Amino acid sequence: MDYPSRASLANATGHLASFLSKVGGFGAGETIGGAVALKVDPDLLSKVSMGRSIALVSATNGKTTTNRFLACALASKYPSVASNSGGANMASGIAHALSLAKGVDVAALEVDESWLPMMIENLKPKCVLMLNLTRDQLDRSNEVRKIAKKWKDAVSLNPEVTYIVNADDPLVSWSAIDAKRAIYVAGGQNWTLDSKSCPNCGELIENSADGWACSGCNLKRMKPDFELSGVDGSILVSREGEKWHIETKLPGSFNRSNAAFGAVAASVMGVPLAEALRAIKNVKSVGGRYETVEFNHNNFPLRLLLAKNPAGWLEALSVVNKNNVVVLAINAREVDGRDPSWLWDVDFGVLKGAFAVVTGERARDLGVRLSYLEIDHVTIHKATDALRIAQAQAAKLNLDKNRPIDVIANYTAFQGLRKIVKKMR
Amino acid sequence: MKTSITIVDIFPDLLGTYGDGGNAQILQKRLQWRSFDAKVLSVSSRDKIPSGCDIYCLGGGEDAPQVKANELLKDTGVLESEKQRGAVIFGVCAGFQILGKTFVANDEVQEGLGLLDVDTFRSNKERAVGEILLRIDDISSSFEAAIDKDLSNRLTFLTGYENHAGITSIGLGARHLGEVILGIGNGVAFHGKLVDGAISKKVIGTYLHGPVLARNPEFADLILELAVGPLDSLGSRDIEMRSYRDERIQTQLSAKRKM
Ligand SMILES: [Zn+2]
Repeated sequence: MDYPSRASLANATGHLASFLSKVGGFGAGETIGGAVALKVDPDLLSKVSMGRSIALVSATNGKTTTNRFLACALASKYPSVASNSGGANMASGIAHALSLAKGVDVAALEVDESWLPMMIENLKPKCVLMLNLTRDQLDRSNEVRKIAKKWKDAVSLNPEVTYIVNADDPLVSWSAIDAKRAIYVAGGQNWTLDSKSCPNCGELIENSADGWACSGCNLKRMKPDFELSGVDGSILVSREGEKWHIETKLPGSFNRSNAAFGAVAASVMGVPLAEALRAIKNVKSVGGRYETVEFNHNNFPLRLLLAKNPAGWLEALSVVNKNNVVVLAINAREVDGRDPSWLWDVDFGVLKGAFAVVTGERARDLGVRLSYLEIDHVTIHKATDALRIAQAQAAKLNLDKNRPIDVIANYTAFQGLRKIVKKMR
Repeated sequence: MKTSITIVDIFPDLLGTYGDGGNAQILQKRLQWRSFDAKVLSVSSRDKIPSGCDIYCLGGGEDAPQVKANELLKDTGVLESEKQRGAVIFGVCAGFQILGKTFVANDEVQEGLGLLDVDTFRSNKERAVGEILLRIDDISSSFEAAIDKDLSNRLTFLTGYENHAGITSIGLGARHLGEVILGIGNGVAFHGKLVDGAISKKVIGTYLHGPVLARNPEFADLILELAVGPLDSLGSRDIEMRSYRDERIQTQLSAKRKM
């Protein structure tokens, strides 16, 4: 693929900045590289997307994992797949991922929710996955419905794109309503607090055996083209009744749902569903999430779980080992959201019986939350001390040394923990 | 003294954006730790709000749910009669606005419940988002009910977080909750001071969400005392809560000094 000359210059400058950033130790270099490239040529996005077949993945939760699943599925057919696997999901990170992958025709890209409209407009993707929209960092984005409305406007301006939509999420379903080509996947949505009232008319949304429906207008759950069934949601069934088994090394029904979305998107991109699901099986961890790591040689291993908002914590808490010691880490920096009020939206009551070691810069916010639930815990601000105390407590309780201690952390707390632990083979 | 207390969490499905449901849970626990028989009724927007309860809590919400909650509350009229009866009514953020006479949502002026003599306009400035700290001067005089003088003396600051686009002006029939040291609060001067919140009889509103009672154990006890009368200290049960409160106030004061 040949870019017009200005785009090539922009690209070269971007690579240089990225290289300098890596050498200088300022992180992975994805974002800064792309940011410099975009400064040189604001049209770079549409230029680097030209002639490519692109899938975009967006959601409040699960976009990185689903994008990884999708990229793996695509790699089973295409020799090379462009992807922002490092998680840089705004314009600059996406521009960088695409400009790096010269001559690669297929791309799977995760996109920050608020950037999705701009990316649909500029990248002209083949398909867009819309997984879920729930409250997240309300200090910055304040109302999740405003994002749903932006998505809706983007869909009505680009109706020819294939949208793969979570039929169980009322906000997402509403935003996809003007799509000419939509594939509905009943991907589940355990978190319902953001869609109790209708995004279209404000009336109450009722739930019945047929799924959700608005009591005031005709917005309702669409009949899904694909559904997850079976006791643990591990069977994917098409509207025609065809069935596939979903297997993933990542825990939780939400990851089986992510796998289903990734596979359906891969099939839109030309990979047969069965093949896509076979490739997805091999994904073991995503950017350190779900990874089992070592800390203190020969001591209890730790399993790292990332959860950034109430819906994410609901999912993470559903897979933790509750008769155990758990470590919970909370920061409230810019990217985490400055306001940790959402801790009160998470049902930590499920941890009854566990012993929690609470850490991070906002450990006290969570400690008080647990106190009002009368859940056994200690608050230890320093992460290394918290991990040591968790291991000591697990030893004191005579727990099985092979079973990992679950560690759930929000974004910057998670990054901090990754720096102090060692990956196990 | 009454020992069986019912706290109503009003419409958590509509007014629960910032974890404000926590306020009802906190009030309940602080009573239970003092051997009261306390329960929380979470009343969804599909159900009828019971009358005759002791404390009614309203939280924050987005525009559309706020309008819906306001309509449902106006239809029942229950909070108006509960105010007359002397129940404690505590509203946060969108819930505070609903308790006032008018507010703006969905780009229209909405008629609220009128339990607080306040009117809320839409700010033409940026949304008020961030840490907020209030100074409280002898709050006991704000209430017709007797408040423990010692508790009133201990409640010197209120620490919280705010996130709203409203400007709330207080009329003759109410007074403010506290003076803003850091943050925006009501966003308009009252008797020459920038203030937050409003109080009238046993109705209290504030922009501090989060839930504000987690950060401010004395404020939680003040609301409880309005309902049940003087309470004993929680002693060691409150150590963690007080450290949390102090940590937040210190962080906010040092942020203020850097400004
Ligand atoms: Zn509707």
